[in-house]
Amino acid sequence: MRHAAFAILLVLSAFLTSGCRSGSSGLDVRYPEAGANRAMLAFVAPRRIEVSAVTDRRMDMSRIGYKPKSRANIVTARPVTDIVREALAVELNTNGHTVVADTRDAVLVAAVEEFWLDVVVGYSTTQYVGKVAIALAVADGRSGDTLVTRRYVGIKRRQADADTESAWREVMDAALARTMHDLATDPEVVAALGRVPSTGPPR
Amino acid sequence: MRVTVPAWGLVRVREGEPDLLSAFADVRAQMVLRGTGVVVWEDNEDVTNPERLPLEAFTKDREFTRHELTEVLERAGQRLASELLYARGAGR
Repeated sequence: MRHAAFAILLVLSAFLTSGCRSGSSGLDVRYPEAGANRAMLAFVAPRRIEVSAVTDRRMDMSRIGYKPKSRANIVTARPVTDIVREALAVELNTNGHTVVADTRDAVLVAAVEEFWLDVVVGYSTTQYVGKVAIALAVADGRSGDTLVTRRYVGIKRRQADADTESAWREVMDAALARTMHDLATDPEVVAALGRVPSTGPPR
Repeated sequence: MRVTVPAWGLVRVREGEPDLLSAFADVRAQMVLRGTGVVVWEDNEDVTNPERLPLEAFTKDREFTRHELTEVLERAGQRLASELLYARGAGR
């Protein structure tokens, strides 16, 4: 009996912590490497940067939205924390930095505060509003001192004829990309990374 | 730099009881070379304020509504600047 209860608990917790996979494959939201550019983050000499595990601070961690008619959950194929962590790594790599697990010059500590898609059905079109909010701290890799804290909010609004999964994904991709572009052009983050000395061998 | 605002106002962003609205601005920017008129960069941005409020919040407080509408234009300017810097990094 206890084994059965434990097994049910295990299945339920896996289901909840994934924050996704509720019967459908989920949206493959991502920040594609091809869409990333070298921006102001590349003005800093290459740094070894650890992207620590991203925290999920969303109010509702079980979904990223719901379908307007059926109210069925809209979910992502991967946990949103993984999506954001990967996006941060893509942006840093594109800008000439190395994402590392040790001997780091700086640490990025990120939390997902919102990752949500609203679908508003109109008379002839459907409006999609995707919102991604990320809290970010840049810390010195050796002392651990926080150098700067920032918050980025990316919102994408789009009208489309039909309620399609591709429109959902495109809106969320664009909202995520806007947060990454804001990060890559943020002079405060650039200045903070510029202040940490490089520990690694020259690249 | 030419900046135009084809649409600006309040938009319904969430269905519910009550529906929630946000200030929005659709903006267009073109960077044009003086003399030749060649467009070297252009961008369209749909910008929506993060605040989502019932219609009543806007109709009851005109000063607040003015603030939201001004703020979304400022946000639009920042968005355009961010994308301009991002595109310049790629040499576009």
